[in-house]
Amino acid sequence: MRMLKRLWLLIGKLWALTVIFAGGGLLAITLIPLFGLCLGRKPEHAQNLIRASFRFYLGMLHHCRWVSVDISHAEKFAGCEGKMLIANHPSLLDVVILMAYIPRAQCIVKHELWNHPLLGILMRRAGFIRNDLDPEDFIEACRASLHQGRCLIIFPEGTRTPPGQNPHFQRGFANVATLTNASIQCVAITCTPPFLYKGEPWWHVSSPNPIFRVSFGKCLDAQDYSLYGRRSIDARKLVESLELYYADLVGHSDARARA
Amino acid sequence: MTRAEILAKLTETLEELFEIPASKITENAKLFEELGLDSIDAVDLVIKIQAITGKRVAPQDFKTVRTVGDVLDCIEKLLAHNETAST
Repeated sequence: MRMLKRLWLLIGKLWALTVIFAGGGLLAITLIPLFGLCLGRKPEHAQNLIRASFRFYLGMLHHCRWVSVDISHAEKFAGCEGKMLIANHPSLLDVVILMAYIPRAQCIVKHELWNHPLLGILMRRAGFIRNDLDPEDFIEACRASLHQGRCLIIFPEGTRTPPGQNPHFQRGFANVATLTNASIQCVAITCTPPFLYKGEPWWHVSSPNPIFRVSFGKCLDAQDYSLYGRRSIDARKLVESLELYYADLVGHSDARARA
Repeated sequence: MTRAEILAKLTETLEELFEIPASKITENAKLFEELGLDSIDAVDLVIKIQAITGKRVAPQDFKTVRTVGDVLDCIEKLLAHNETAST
């Protein structure tokens, strides 16, 4: 029985990975052009399509008892329009979960993804921001999308943090915040047992199935972090204080003791 | 201004803007790897240099800057340009 359960979880994991990579490409050559023809090329259509697909995807993982997602106060995502939303990044599914629930999500994508022959179509059509713009253009793009009321999702770690380590933040999100005076909504994500984490072997499955928990933390306004009279110092202090805050939210006591 | 004077002024600026200890600021110190600057900090630094020298820094001149010494070269070039312009 245990063998069967593990086999089922392994099938689920491989299916989840296949769908996430092939599904995006499939959307890019089917529904995205269809929407473009029927409804015009508005970024909102592509965003809604991505959101609905991610909802469907999570629903599928849930109904097959592969992965559960537990969000406390999901209605708060609607209040994130025009704000920056930061989250820790334990798993590949984090961005899927956030984008499935945030009404007008704005993402910053790696230039490799932007230039991808299939997924790039999706990124460009949804009006996402590429990460290799000149610094001034990049900040302007972030500012413009915050003004349009989109919710700018940033994982300050830049990449997934392996289980058992405290999140280490890059300064990029703090630069964007201090230059645009954005409000910052903190979100904490935990996953037990760890799933699709950095360096996880593809055949590795853990039983019971993973449960993602998403919770809302504090929300900072510009006056909460504009404290030192110099933007460059404000950004550095913001990184330090939020790193400590996340160590408390999602951190590991052993890692805290070492730090 | 001599190169040493420019370095002193730049050290003061880097301390003020980015809280980098003066002891770490040498001609060979790498701005991004060793002093922890990022591309947005570089924009802040250019704005500050422009304010101090009263000269516009061409973006392409600053793109190749990697070390504190490179910044000094850039400022010396700006000031030299200033002198030729005023004579």
